[in-house]
Amino acid sequence: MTRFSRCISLLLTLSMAAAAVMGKGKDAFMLDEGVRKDYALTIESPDMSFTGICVMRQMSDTVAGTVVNEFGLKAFDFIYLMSKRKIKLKNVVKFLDRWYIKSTLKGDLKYLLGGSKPSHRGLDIGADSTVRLANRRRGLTYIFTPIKQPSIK
Amino acid sequence: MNRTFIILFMAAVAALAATAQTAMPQSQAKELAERINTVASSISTMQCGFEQVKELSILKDRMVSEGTMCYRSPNQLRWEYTSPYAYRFILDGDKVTMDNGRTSNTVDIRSSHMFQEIARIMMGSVTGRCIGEGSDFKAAYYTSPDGGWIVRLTPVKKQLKHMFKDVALHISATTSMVSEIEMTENNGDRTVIRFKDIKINKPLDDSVFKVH
Repeated sequence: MTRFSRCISLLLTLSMAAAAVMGKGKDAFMLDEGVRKDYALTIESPDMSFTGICVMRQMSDTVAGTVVNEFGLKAFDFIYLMSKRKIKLKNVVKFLDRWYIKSTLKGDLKYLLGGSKPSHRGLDIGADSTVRLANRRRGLTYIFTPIKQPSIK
Repeated sequence: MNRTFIILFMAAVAALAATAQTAMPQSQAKELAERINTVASSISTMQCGFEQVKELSILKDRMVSEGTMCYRSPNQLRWEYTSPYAYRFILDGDKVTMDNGRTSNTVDIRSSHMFQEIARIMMGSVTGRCIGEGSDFKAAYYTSPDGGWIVRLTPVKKQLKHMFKDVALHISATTSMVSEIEMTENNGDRTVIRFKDIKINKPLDDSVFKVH
C-alpha cells in the first residue's frame, strides 16, 4: 500500500509539473476571455531585427492575434485553437511566407500560448509583464512589451 | 409600412451616393495633378499631428496611434509615433533611421531600391508632390463627395504589390493638399492616417531630423 501510495504521489507530482510547464506559455500573457492585449514586439536574430506591434485576444476556445509594423503594414495574422493546440497563420506577408519561417513562428507562438515543451526555448517574464522568448535553435529572441491602447474615438 | 420602406430605401441610396467616388476625365485629372504639384512645390516645410487608425479584421477591432510629422524639402522627413508606442522614422537625405527607443537602425537608401521607393512614396504622400509619376504606380483620379479629390495609387511592381493593394491620397478642396492617406492591404484591411493642425513653411531646426 505504501509503495502504491508513493507511485500515485510520484505520478501526481509529475503530472502537476507537466501541467505547470504546459500552462506556462498561456500564463506568459495572462490572457482573459474577451480582453485585448497590445504589445510592442521586437524579434531579433544575429542577422536581422524586426519591430512592430502584436495585438491579441482570447475568445472562447481561440486566441486570435495579428502582428503589424508601426505603420500598420501586416506581417501576419494568427489563430490558436486551444483545445486542439493548433496554430494557424493567415495573411502572411510575402517575405515571411516560407515554410521554415512559418514553421518556426508557429512553434514559438504555440509555446507562448499553449505551452508545448520548452526543449530549445527559454521564457522569461519581467516584473512589468514584459515577455521574452529565446529560441536557441534558431537564434531568435522575441520581446513583447505591454502597451496601453488609448480609448477608441 | 410601404412609406417607411420607401424612406429607408431612399436614405440608403442617398448614403451610397454620398460615399461614391466619381472617376475624373483624363484632362481634368492632368489639370488636378498639375495643381497639386504646384501647391506641393511651394511647400518648403510642413509640420502636423496625425491620427492613424488601423483595421484589425481578425480581431474585429481597430488600433489607434497618434504622432507628429515634420517635412523639409527636398528630402527630409521625421515621422514619429508618440502614442501608444514610441517609434521614429527619420529620413535625412540618403539615410533612414528607425528607432523604437530600444533599438536603432540606420540604412542607406541608395543600397535598396525598395527603400528609395518607400521614401519617395512617403514624401510624395505627405506633400502630394510628383504623385503618380514614375513607373512604380498607376494613378487614378476621382472626385470625392466632400468636394475634394482622391488619387488612388496602385503598385505595379511585385515587391510593392505584395505589401499593399493601393494607397489613396485624399486631397482637400480648400488647400489642394493631402489631408488623409488611406492604405488598403491585400486582405482588405485599411490603415487611415488623418493629418491635423497642419503648419506650412515655418522654420524647422536641423536637430529635428537627427536621432538623439
